[in-house]
Formats: sequence, structure tokens, C-alpha cells
Amino acid sequence: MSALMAHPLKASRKLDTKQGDPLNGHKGVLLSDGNQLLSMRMALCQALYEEMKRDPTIFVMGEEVAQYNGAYKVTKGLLDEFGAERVIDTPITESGFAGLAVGAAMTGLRPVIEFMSWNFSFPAFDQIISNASKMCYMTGGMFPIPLVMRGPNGAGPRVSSQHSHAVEALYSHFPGLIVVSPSTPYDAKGLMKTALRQNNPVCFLENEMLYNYEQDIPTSEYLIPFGKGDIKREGTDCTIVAISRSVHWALEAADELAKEGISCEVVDPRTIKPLDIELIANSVRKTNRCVVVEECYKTGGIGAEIATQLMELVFDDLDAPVGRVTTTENPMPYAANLEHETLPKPHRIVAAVKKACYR
Amino acid sequence: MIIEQLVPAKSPTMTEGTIVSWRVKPGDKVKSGDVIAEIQSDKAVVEWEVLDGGTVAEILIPAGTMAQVNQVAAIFTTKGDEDVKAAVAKAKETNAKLAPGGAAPAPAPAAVAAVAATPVPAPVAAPAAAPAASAPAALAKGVRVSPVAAKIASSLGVDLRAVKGTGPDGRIVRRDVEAAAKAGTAKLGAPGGAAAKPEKPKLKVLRADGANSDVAMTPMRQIIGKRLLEAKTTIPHFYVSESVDAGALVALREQVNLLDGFKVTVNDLIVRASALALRAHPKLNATFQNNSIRYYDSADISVAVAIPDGLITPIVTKAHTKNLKQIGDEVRALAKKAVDGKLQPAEFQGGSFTISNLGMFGIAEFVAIINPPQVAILAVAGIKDEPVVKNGAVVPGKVMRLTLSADHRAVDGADAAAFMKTLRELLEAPATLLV
Repeated sequence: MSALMAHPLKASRKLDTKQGDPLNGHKGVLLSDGNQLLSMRMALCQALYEEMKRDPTIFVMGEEVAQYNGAYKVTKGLLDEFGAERVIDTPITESGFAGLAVGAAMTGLRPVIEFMSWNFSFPAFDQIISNASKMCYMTGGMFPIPLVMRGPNGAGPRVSSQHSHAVEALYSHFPGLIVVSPSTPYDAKGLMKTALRQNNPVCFLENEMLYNYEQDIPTSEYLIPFGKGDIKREGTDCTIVAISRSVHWALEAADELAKEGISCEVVDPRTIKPLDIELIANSVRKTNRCVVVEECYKTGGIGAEIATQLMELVFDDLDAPVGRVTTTENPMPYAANLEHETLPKPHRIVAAVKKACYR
Repeated sequence: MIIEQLVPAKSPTMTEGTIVSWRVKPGDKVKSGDVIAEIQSDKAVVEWEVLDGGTVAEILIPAGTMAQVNQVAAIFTTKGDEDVKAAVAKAKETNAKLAPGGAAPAPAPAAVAAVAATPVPAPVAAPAAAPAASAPAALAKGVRVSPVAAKIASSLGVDLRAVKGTGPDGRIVRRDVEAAAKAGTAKLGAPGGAAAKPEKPKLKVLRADGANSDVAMTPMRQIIGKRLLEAKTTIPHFYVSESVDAGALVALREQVNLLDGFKVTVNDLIVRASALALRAHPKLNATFQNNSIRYYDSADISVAVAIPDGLITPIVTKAHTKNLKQIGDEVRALAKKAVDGKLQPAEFQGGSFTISNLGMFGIAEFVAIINPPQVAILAVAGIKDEPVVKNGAVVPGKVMRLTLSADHRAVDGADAAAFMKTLRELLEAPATLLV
């Protein structure tokens, strides 16, 4: 059973602020059923906290991660708990601290670096592509790079063209990187813990617009393996593959489509690389139709990759061409109405699913 | 380097031919000596081996199309950086020039257009419009069907030809197949169902002149027409007929065929007899070469073979050196190849004398047109039971009539008569054919 079905999202519910400062930090709000209520940012913080407790080689580094508790408060309370040696504020030098992290990883430490936004990873592109992802290979396995690079990805609220990039297709392109992009607090925590226990560089793509999503999740420890997708909603007529924030748009669209008698299955790959194409293919074998939703651009996007792999795997099961709902191929406009039309929002997903279903 | 592959003349008389099939496609690498296509010449389907290898860049004459000799059929490159586009443009220009009528780029459609331009007066109003209406139908695309609809159709027993698609451009999608399966309207192989007669029966249009159809001449029919018209109108034919008492011949054939593995025919005996007679009368074993006559030592006998929509004359070479079994085996092998369209040019080009035998139809007598540049042809009729006079008495006999057509430019009546006399003597004393 899907974690989302077991632990439904509570996007509208506000955490009870009377119980300390639950909006931030690693402490969840304990619920009577033994679960805890966590927002996405708290789930990430809890994963970091638990793993840093467990493994003294893990340290966090980035712009404003320590004294300011992180630009999005994901690292809230970590400085107090683990001290300035393990929670380090850096200057505005992405290339510098990314390189530092690769070096630290080579010495056996487990760095976690925060890009305030993945838009700012571009100055560090060379460190990520040429060093982090290649070092293990170049040294014949002598220097694995257990590095977690994390931060918000995709469009924020009206942050215009330079700060709205979705980088999952970009970083998935290069061999040597694991690319993770969770859509729920449950998935985020389980995947972050896995990222902190393995030896390859991970691009951990969060989403600013999901940090406040809340979910009841277990207090007991769990991990989610890479390369294992999750069915967020079961259906019979059309598979919607969606990533990160798009999962929520897809679920919204599925609600809309259900009213018209179209039953959608929403599949969340959770990790883009490695990709759980078998889960997607099995879903399409059942529904015969597929629409991929993502915040990347259409050209060379994740949808292009999934559509191609589906064609290779389940060509004979397709009733319609695989649809793609992506960010339209223009720089993100500042205007809210134009931003709405640029992003793969539910109304565009509904149209694409109807087309795939010949409705 | 750009290499233009020109349509070759695969027989001395070939001026055009059909590219039956291509064995290569753009992108293929071809070595010198590789077969790149099969061409229907005026005589047979022959393989086209190329002299210059390279990479196939473009095929200009599609399979099934009539091509003129020396038209550019394909363009090869030897390096990757050539300007293929320019070469294609140039080749198309060349091909247009070589096409019948000069500028007309496509000979076949031109011919069709000519037929259409002189229509038979339409007897009924409706059929007149039929050709125009049928044209788009011929261009209509095949059944469009989604992969999964195609997959489930057979398991649900649905005949896709009888399903109406509701997807874009009439694409048959899953729901259409499922609906058809539920309704049972398009059962696979249902007798009398929609599936059983997916195509409308074609209405035959009656023409005022009672003609059935106009069929374009095949390359072979065209060449037969051209060559025999030339032969009949330019060669001064004369004819010498002879009756042969074939009683002994028939008896000999029956005796020989008692041997295991022997299946000698009357035709084999005639080929053998003709070869011996030609050696005795070399004036008939010749070809006419405009200002000279070429005589041959070897009796290379062309045997006319009927093949679908035409005829061809494979050659029994050095027939005078071969015994009856060798001749018989050879003729049958050549005839089979001829019918299969597999004769190689060397097997039907040349020859010094031709035999045309219609005996198997029981024909009483006929005359043949000389096969140029040869100077004589023997027409062989059937063996008939007829009264013959022997030793002053009329007795039942078997008679075969032979008619020699000869070219008076090379052969005179006395030569032809002497040849026929020898031939008759050999056939009436057929033991001579065994030695």
C-alpha cells in the first residue's frame, strides 16, 4: 500500500503552534495513534537529525544553514544540537563549497550541502558534473563520493525566469549522479535517510512549494530505497507519471477527471535516476495510456525519457501516444497569470489525459 | 566521390527495363561486384552487379518502375562529405532527358495519362465518373489502429477491417475493439458477416466497343513486337516445306524411352537432326551482318520456349556434339529457367539457328518469322496419322510437316531445299541420330 494512501497528505491543516515551535525543526507533533504529524521541511530536518546522531561523519554546509537555520528552515536547530563544526555557514560560493564537499567526501566524511536553490547550483556545475560524479570512476573506485546535495528545485511563487528552473532532467543526464525528487514528507524522510547511508553523490531535489505539506507518518524508523516508485493513487484508465510538486497537480487533476468517469493512476517515481520504469510500465500495461507531468521543459525532459522507455517496453500495450505536460518552453514569466499557464497545472493535465483517452 | 549508377543494358537489344527489386537501401555499403538490384530486361530478369562500390546515398528509380538505359538509378558516395543534393538534382535532370518524350520525368504515368486522354465514349453516365472517384480510394491509407487495440483484437476475435475507429483520423482504439467484441458485429472469419466481405465487389464497367480492358505492354511484349516487325518487314523471307514420314521416328523414340532415365521428345530428335543437317549445310548455320555473312562451325540451336506473356529462345550450344539425352536434359533445364525468368543473358543471346515447335498442339503446318540476325528458322508441326504411299501402295502412316523460313540475302532456294532434304532423310532414318 502506498505511503500516501496510508498517511494522507494534510495540506490544509495547520500544525498546532502551541506545542513549541512545530513549524520548524526535527520534532514532529505526536498524534494519539502513535504517528507523528510532520511538514515536508520537518521531515527533512528529522532525517538529517537522526542520521547526524547516528553517524558522526555527517556534516551540513551551505549559505545560512547554521545561524539563520536555513533559508527555508530545513536545518533548523541543527547548529544548536551538533555545533559549528558540523553545521557550517559558507560565503556565497557555490562552486567553492561544492568543491570543498567533494574533497571532504574523499577523506571519508559525509557532507550534506545545501543549495539555497538548485538555480544556484549552476556556478557549481563543474564540481558536480566533472568531480562529484566522476571521482569514483576516475580513481578506480578508490574515492567514492558520499555527498548529498540538497535544496529547493522548480518554480517558487513568482520568482521569475532565473529562479524557477527544474533541474531533474539536467542532472539525470550525466552518469554518476543519483537524482531524487520526493513529493511527500514520508517519502522525503525515507529517501533522505537512504541518501545519507550510501556512497554516491545524490542530487536531492526538494520543492519550496511543498515545504509546508503535512502528513502523519510513522515515528518508527524506515528507509525508502532508490529506484523504487510509488503509486499515489490507483486507477484503471490512464497512468499519470508525475514528479515532486507535479504529483499534487496530478492528484488534483485525477479528482477532476474522476468526476467525468476517467479513472487515473498516479505514479510517483520518487527517484528519477535510477528510474522505476517497471512500476510505470506495469501501470501502463493495465491502463494502456500514459501522461507524464513534470516541471522540466519538454525538449529532453524526463517525459521524453519515460515516453521513449515506455515505447520500448510496452509498445503493444499503448492505446494512445504518451502525453507530456511540462513547463512550456519559455522563460518563466513574472506575472502570476502567465506563470500559471507556464507550469504543468491541473487544467493542462486534465486536457492531456482526455486526449490520451480519446475524450 | 559521387558515383552515378546508370541503368545498364542487360541485353544487346535492351533500351529500357523494369527495376524489379532493390537489394540495397540508402545507407548500405556496397562493394564492387555486389548485386544491387534485379532488372527485367526485354528477355529476362537479371541481376545487376555494380562495378564501383560505395555507400548508397539515394535511390532515384523505385522498384517496380520502368527505367530507360543510362538513366541514373542510384547515387553512391565514397566519402561522407559529398553534395548529394546537387548530384540528385543533376541526375533527375539526366533522367528527365532520357525519359521517353524528353522532358517527361515519369514515363509510366505519361502513358496512363495518354490512355485517359482518349477515353472511349462513356456508355453510362455514372461509370464515367468512376475512375476519378476510385483514384482517392487507391491513395487512402490503411487501417489505423493503436498498438493495444491491434493486440486485443485477435484475442477478442474482432476483425479490425470491420471496426470503425473513433480516434483521430479514424484510428481504431481500445474502446472501439471492445465495443465491437461486445456487439459481436465484427467477428473474425464470421461467414456472411461484415468481416467476410470487407471489400466492395468491383463493378465491371461495360464499354460501348465491347472491349474488356487496355493493358500496357510489358517490356517483353514491346521488344517482341519491335524485333519481329523489323524482321518480317526487312528480311526477304522465303519458305520451303517438306513432309516427313515420322513412323520410324516415333518408333525409335518409344524404344529409346524404354531405357531408364530417358525421356527423349520428338523435339530433341529434331534438334539433333537439325544440328547434323546444319553441319552438312553450313550456309544455313549463319548470321546476317549487314555487309557480310558470318558462318559458324558450331550448331548453336535456339529453341523457342513459350513463357507467361511472351517467348524466349534459350540456346542448346554445340548441339552437334551432344547426344539425345544431353540435348533433352539441357532443353528441359533451359525451359524451366525460362519459365522462372532465371535465364542468364549468355543462355539466350546468340545462337545460329532457331527451331520453333508447335507440334504439341497437333498443328498441321505453320511458318515462322526469322529470329535475326540468324538466317533461318525451322517451324515444326505435329505428327499426324495420314495415308502414305509406300512401294506403290497406300498405307497408314505418320506425317510431320516442317517449314523452313530463310533469309534470301544469305540463303538461296537450292541451299534451303538441300538442307530440308538432308533433314528429312535423317528423320526418316532416325538411327542416324544415335551415332
